[in-house]
Amino acid sequence: MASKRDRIIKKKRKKHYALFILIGISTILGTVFGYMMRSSLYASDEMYDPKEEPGIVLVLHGIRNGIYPWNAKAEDFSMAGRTLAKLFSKDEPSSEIPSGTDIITSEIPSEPVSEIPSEIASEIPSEPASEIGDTPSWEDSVKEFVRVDDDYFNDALFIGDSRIVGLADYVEPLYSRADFYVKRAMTIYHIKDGKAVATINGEQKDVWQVLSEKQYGKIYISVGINEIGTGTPEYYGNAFAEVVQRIREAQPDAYIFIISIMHVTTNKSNNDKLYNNPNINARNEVLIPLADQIRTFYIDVNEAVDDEYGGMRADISYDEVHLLGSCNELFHEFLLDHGVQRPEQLSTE
Amino acid sequence: MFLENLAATGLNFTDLQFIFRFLPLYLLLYYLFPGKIRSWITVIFSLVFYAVNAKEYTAVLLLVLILNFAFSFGIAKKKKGVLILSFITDAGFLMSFKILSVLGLTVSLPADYNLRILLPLGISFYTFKIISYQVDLYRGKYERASLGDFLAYAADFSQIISGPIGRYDLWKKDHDHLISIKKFKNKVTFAMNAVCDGLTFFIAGLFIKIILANHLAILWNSIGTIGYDSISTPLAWIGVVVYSLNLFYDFWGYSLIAAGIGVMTGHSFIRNFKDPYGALSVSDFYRRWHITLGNWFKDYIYFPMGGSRCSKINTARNLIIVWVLTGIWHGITLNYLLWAGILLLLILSEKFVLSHNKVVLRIFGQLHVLVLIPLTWIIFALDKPMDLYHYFARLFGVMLPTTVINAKDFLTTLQDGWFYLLISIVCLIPGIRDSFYHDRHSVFWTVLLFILFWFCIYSSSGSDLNPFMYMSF
Repeated sequence: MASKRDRIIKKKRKKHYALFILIGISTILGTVFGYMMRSSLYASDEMYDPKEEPGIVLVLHGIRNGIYPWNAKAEDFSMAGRTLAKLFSKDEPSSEIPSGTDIITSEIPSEPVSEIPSEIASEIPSEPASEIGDTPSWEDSVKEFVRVDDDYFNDALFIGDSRIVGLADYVEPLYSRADFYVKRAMTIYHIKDGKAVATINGEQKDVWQVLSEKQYGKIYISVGINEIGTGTPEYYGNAFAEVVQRIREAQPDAYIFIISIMHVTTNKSNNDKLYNNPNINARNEVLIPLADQIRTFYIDVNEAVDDEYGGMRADISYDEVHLLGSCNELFHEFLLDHGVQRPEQLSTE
Repeated sequence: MFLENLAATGLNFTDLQFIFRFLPLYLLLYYLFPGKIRSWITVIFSLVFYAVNAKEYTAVLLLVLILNFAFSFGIAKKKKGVLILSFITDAGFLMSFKILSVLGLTVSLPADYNLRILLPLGISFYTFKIISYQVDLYRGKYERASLGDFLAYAADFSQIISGPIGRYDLWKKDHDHLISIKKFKNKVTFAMNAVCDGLTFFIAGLFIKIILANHLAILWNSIGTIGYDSISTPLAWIGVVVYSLNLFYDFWGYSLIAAGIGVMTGHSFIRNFKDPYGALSVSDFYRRWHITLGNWFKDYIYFPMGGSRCSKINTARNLIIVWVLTGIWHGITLNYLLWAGILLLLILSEKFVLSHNKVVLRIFGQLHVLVLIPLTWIIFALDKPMDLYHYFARLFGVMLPTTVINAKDFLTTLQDGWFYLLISIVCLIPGIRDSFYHDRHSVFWTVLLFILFWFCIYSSSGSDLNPFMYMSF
């Protein structure tokens, strides 16, 4: 019969081991579940690389993306079963797992973005011209960029991520005139999905609410760096196209300015697998066709901030991604150089 | 293939590869193999760990290890010349790399491969461990270590990157104790107890590093993103607090993880921090901050020169030597020397001027710890003189020609990070730390540590690499 002392020691040891046991069991369960569901529930996780990360990461990435283990359906388990069966058969186990591109092309279109076909890019520019015929009016003709003054921004709205936050915080002539719907880490998907990620005049709203409450003359949109790790450039372009079309519907008279994704420094670009200038350029490329230069414009801010190597100048950024507070003036000057006159402004000249 | 991938991404204590693959495999093999082979298991894993993090400099590490093992034969026979030779060799390597890395030299290697000379990873730490081993061997504290034991001690992956600077006598005592356990049941019990106890420190360290330090680092970086010339004065002062806490939690978190791994392998817990911001003076602060480095300087520099048991002039001389060396140990750039110089002045003022009156010492000591030491961390952080000038100018409200101020910048900066700053300040309360040290196996701490573990893993799984700040020394 165990003595009282032995019982106390046993009890203590149980408590002592409890943390280890809890972590061990949860890790094993999570890892097994992650591997089982790799080709079903977590098939859209194109970031996962089993050589670089343990299987538990699939579950954690899933939670981050709103895919919880309890979302698994019977077919997910049966697909997992088939994958396991193949593992033990003579077939190549990898044949069941779609490649990165397969995942992106097969999974992503099932999202709401599928409502907007990829041809939208070419459709948007053709709209105004086709109604007008061969001799377009000023409003329907291709515009040249002109130098404007700060009052030009009195009827402007800026929508964007941390790069535009810099403009809002450090360029007084802009933040005293224009409206800003900006937030760090804002993405085109937040905008598209109507997520109330930012405040305007102290109120938390989604961008569509903002656009329904006030008509603007110019709408500037600058996002993209935070989306680099998500989907392909085409997926990004489709989402952007949907946003542009919806802005056009909400604000028929506004000029829409698509600001290119600002480069990172050459040093960062050379040392970052994800946030590098080739990836940024690939995404900028899909934005260019969205502009007709009639009422929707693409402006490449990299003209103002790049060095001779095609990366952001190292002396104007601390973190190699954002402009220093005082260097937002470069961005401001670029915007002043890329104004588009409206008909009412023309008639007064 | 696995190692190639590791080499491409590097490996540190907060990587999921380390937590879920490297460490469990190491512990499994460590306890599976018989006692005397364990040192070699540690050696193999340590060399792999070092190679994937600093492949070009593994040769330097191996050279230093082999030379020192050879020296140890002569030192064990009390040959002073060999001890001096080993000291010159070790200090020479350390100083040469400190100088060459600052100069930014590049060497051409075969196959058109150019290598820019950087400070070899962890050289400041492993050099100090090796010097302490040789000196204590000469002093007769222990017998010469076998090759496996020497390599396992000097290259131990848990301490090689950022310390703590362990001592061989303690390492050997723990190692021998582990070997002395003969019965299988006792071995299993010992291993389980060690792993479970070490796990608590490991998780506490993960929390401090991943949740506190990394979020404070984001706050500190956001200040840099604005540009030091354009921060408001309130934000400049918030930055002082943020960086002070960031450095403390980053290094303390690392030290706890390292100590936790040590405990998992049956070694004693090495305490590297002991409530430094609860110190009453600068001298007291540095007895509680990076304790193993302070003890190293005390045991191998300060005391052998006479410490404070000599004339005031000699005491001052000893302190000057120790603090100049402390500055150089951190780096030979101007900011580290300035940082060490200011601390030296504060310590001298406390020791020879303020100490005459206990109340005055108490008041000024607290002022030094809570205001001046955080300011010295800004000097520590900014290695460009212009950045330093801009930061201190903005601290005192000086407008610079390039200044563009957003008066509400401290509100926007704190908008996303205030919670982590608050938690970081709350975690300074000594009661929380004491409760963890004494009751870490209680139900409360077990549940909390389990939650914190998964919270850390979740955070780590979605973030970029955030290396430890003390890796650059």
